[in-house]
Amino acid sequence: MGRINLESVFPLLALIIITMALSGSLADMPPLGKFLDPFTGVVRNERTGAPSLQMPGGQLKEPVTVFFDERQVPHIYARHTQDLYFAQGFVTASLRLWQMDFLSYTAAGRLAEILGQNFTDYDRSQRRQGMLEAARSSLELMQQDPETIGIIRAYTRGVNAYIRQLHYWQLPIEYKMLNYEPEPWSDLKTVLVMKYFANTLSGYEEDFDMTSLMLALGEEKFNKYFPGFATDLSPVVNTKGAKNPALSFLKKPDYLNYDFMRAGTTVPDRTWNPSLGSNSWVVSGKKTRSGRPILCNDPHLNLTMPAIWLEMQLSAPGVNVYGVSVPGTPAVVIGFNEDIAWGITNGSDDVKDWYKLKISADYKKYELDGQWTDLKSRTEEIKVRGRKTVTDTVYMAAQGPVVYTAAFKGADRARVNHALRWSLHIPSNEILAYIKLNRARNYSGYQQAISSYSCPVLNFTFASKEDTIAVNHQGNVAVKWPGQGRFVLDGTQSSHLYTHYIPADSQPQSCNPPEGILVSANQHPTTDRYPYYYNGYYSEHRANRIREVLLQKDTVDIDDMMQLQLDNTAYFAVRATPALLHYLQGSKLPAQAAQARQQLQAWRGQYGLKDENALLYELWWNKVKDYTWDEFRNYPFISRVPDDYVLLHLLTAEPGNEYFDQLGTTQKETAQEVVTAAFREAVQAYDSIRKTTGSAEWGQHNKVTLQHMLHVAKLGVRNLPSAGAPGAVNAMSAGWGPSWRMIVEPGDRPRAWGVYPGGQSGDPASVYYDNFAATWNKGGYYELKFFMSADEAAKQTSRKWILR
Amino acid sequence: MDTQIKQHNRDIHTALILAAILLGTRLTDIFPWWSFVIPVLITGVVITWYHWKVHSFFVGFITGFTVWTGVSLWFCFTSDSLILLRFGWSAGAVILLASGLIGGILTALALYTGKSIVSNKKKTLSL
Repeated sequence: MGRINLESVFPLLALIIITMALSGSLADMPPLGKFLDPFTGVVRNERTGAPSLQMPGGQLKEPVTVFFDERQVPHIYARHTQDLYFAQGFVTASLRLWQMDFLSYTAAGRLAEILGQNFTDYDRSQRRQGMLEAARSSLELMQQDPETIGIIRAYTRGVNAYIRQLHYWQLPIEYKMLNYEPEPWSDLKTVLVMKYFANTLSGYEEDFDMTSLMLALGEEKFNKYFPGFATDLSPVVNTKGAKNPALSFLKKPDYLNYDFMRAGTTVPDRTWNPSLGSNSWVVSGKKTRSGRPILCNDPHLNLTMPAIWLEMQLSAPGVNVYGVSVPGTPAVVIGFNEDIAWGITNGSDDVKDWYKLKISADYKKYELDGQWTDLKSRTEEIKVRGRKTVTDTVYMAAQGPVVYTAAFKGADRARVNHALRWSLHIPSNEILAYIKLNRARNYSGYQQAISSYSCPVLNFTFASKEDTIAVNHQGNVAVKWPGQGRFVLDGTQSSHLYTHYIPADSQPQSCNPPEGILVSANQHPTTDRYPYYYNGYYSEHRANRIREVLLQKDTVDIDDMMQLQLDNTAYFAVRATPALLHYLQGSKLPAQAAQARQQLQAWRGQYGLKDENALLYELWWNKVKDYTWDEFRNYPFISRVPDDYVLLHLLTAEPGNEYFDQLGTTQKETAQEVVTAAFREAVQAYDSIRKTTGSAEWGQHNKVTLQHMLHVAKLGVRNLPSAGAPGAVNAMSAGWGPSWRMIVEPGDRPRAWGVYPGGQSGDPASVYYDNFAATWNKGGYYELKFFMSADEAAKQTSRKWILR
Repeated sequence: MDTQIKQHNRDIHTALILAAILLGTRLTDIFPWWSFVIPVLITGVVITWYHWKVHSFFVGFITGFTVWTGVSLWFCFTSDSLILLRFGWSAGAVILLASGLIGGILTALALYTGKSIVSNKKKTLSL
């Protein structure tokens, strides 16, 4: 028998309380005891750079060899298709487990599960928009295709084989920071990541803005200031059929009036970034120095850490492909194989439409063609970390989900009781398209591969070693009557529902054009001589510039293509500057402003790192826009002003246009006064910025940040002074830009160059986490090591894994 | 003088036992992060049982602090220390110090509690 000392109660209690306090998360901090434990916590992540290999045997038909080159790019060699995708899943998880897992949570609307109650509304919104449902129905479709589902399952098994052999100390740092552990990967997670990617590129919508603008401006003015087609156009495909008047002048639909819209017209800010564009072009071998075609691609996306893309080579019987994949999905998305190369850019079409419904107060019925129809509903369970699970009812009309209701108005009151029709909801099998593209040997293989591709609408560019070049505007684009989908639609009429899609043979496409070049850079897919009505958020500047440069030269080579991808000339600024300067002629300007004018006269639209005029032009043009479109800011609903080309047209052709007259002044201003006043103010602001920051060099004001996905500043790469601008081919901006620059010259032995911001590893403790960032920022490229055989790979790499 | 040396030796012996416990419990990667507290507490009971006179809180703190900081430094200096570099040296130093403090305080409290549980003092409860 011993004796218990009562005085021990107090230290024992203190010990228990401190241990419990250090085991739980306080505020946004990780549990400190677990996190700072040197044996398994954050410090241990210093040693997780080279993942271990302890795979339980029997999961592969034959061993798979993974060669890692000096940039940590895996070159995977398998003897069976399913082994290849198993290994892709395993290797991808070893490099990017947390990122792919987090993306699947984001897409599914499950962030509250790991980030807490502040994300409940995000999750509700995501569920109501139908992302999870869309992924489930697409997976059902994929399950009907044995090839696709076989590959998806092999990939899932590969990811899970990696997860199962992880110890806590090996978990990526983000899991430790957020205090959770990876759940098993699933086929659904793969599809969710694919849908996340589709959402990033097809989130465009302007229905509410355009509805309000059409009502406020009237038909004539609306078409003048918000035309379907800009004046300076280089479409993806130069269609030459009969002119379609609906594409250039849109009549106000009969149903569209203030009675229809009286529920409110306030349009809030949206998170979708319309500048997420891309460049891709192909040059025929007839126009290149080597006689081989050249394909270039640089998709512009939000720049994150870990990087969006993961570079790899996949090789098995019937496939030998190199390129970038999206972590979480099988196959290569952009790349090349022994015979062909392909690239993608956002098609930028409007595939997201809203229908104004008439719903009963109890959300049981809605009106369709004069009949009250049952409103379907389903219950979503949203798990919330540390709190009770939230349930949410999602209502479904014939048009699609009712995203905002009286119970959940979101930030967007105008959208309450509107149904969303979005091509992302249609079950589709994009994975099969990429699997087939990876294997395609020629143009017909490429055509067959992309035929199963539906969302988001993309421009696929193609080049083969036989010197076939092509471009296809590919995806589900509905057959619409003029204006359908550009404005909010009437949900009480079934005639407003579209049911047909533009047939494959009518989708814009071009193969081997006589001029030997094809360009896609989010511009209009066609001229106005196209039989179908469509609309979208198109941008012409970069396509015009690429075309201009390519047509200036008789022949081009790889160096020319690199220069063009890094081209900092803003096509629009080159045209706008003389038009602006024209109005300064004869103006008496103070000495400083006169000197600035002289500077700009010699400027050629260059957004170079050291350029001192780009900042001045930016300030000036933005002031001109502010002064000209001040009327638009008086509308309660305004969220956008007319396109820059419209303003340039007014400056050159209509200097007395009513919009140059400023509100709040007695005199009637013209373009002359607006441009001159804007210039004086811009010069003042420019001098002030130069004095405050010590520099007017563009690079010092165009700093790019590769933001960590959790916005942990220290885990990102911050403030890289950068050349380029959104309107230049080198479309560099603060948080988005070229996410993968690739140049490929197909041939008997393909040659390729590429670079992306970030690095192969998702582990901040690895030197491969951000080792490409500086090269990318300086405009450098890596020659891509594409091996024709495993023997070749073995000779040219120093590290390998053998998966058994 | 002999008593002082003896006590000094007891302190060192206890510290070595604690270090072995801290390393042994945590390097196995089986038990939860706080699992070392239990054997340390038992050590406190045992050394009191054997009438070792030890500066329990001081010895526990120094040993816990040294082992936790030392292991952290080991993992940092035998790698590229990129995590600490990303957070900056000052933040890195805070992480190392905070880690040492947690190891130190918990070891000290556990040893002290163990020592306090069994005592020859009068204010006791017989079982």
